[in-house]
Amino acid sequence: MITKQTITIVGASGSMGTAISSSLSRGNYRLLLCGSELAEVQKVVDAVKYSIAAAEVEALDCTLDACWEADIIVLAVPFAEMQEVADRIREVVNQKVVISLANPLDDATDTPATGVVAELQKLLPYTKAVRVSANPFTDAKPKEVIIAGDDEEALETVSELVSTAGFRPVVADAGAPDTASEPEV
Amino acid sequence: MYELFFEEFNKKVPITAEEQEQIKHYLTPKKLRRKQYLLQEGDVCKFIAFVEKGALRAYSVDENFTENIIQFGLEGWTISDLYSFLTEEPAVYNIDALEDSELVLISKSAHEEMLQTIPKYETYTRLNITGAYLAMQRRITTIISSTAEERYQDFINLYPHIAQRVPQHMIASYIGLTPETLSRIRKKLSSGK
Ligand SMILES: NC(=O)c1ccc[n+]([C@@H]2O[C@H](COP(=O)([O-])OP(=O)(O)OC[C@H]3O[C@@H](n4cnc5c(N)ncnc54)[C@H](OP(=O)(O)O)[C@@H]3O)[C@@H](O)[C@H]2O)c1
Repeated sequence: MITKQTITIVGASGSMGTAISSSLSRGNYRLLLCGSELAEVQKVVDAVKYSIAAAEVEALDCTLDACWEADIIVLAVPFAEMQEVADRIREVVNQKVVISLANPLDDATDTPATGVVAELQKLLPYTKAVRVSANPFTDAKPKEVIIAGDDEEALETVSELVSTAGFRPVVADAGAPDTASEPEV
Repeated sequence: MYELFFEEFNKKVPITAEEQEQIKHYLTPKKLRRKQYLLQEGDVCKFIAFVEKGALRAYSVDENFTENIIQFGLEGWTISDLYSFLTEEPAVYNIDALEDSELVLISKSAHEEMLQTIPKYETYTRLNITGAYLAMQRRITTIISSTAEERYQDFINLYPHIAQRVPQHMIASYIGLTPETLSRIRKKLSSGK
């Protein structure tokens, strides 16, 4: 795609958020970073710009505005925080691709019976929910990343994104287990 | 976020609150800052954009890197590369924001699904495309058969609000004149009054 897409990363100053922000800054994307502390998020912006001067990346205080501008939203927050974030951004993310990196096992509390995609889809019903997680069963290089979701076009978009970030995208079979039982990497 | 969209929709095809709710689920709210692209030439245009707030333009770039403005999109209008949207061939237009803008996008898949499931959306689409066709025929006729001065006056009469909002060189581009020619015409018209 030639047209620059805007990606908003919520939880950008966390460990996943920081990693994703820096790896996506190599692509043809404009990144809007949000988190609970603007100063922390600004540190991530500075670090990204330090390594890639041309990167288009910006810290935004208002998550709602950032998601309103976005074409794609990445939730780099713990599973238990997904609901709180979803409630805040719901009205501006209709029909957009929303990616969760959450690993419920890791976060221990309230593991869902149905999996992250289903849970996210329930929280944000009119979005294209996608889950991205590392494949724990292989040491392949580049690292394999599993992409799960129901919308074909969204899976394609996210595959492109994952490749840009330097990983090998593997689209999970429809109906394959996307559950809490997946071990952490 | 969707106020103007539904106001305009209701003017064309009256809908109930339930129908409005149903349609709303298919819409993508999107903010664009000034100078940002909504679409660049070479990509397939995957949406129709309705302008809630702000102003956009669609233009092509010729071999001399001159921008030729095809269409403006102000509040209440839709803007797109309809050819690319309907045929899924790469777009020949660029669309960017002249001001910070708030848009309501209808993606190709949402469009197709609504055409199948919401008859009033089909009517709305028919009226939109009819309107676009009429505007295009009128524009072609003007470009082929009017003098430079007539083209400018036509534009001012048809779109007084655009004339106030966008720079003169863009108006010149839209009506197919050089900025110098437009400036001469404007001088002549104002001295003639
Ligand atoms: N780390 C890994 O290797 C790894 C690998 C795979 C998957 N994951 C999954 O990815 C998710 C994030 O993990 P992480 O290691 O990056 O955690 P983390 O370092 O604790 O980061 C979470 C980030 O989310 C922010 N946050 C929390 N609640 C928020 C809210 N309600 N609104 C906005 N921002 C909020 C936090 O900001 P504050 O700290 O300022 O509150 C923090 O910046 C988890 O579900 C984890 O299981 C992690």
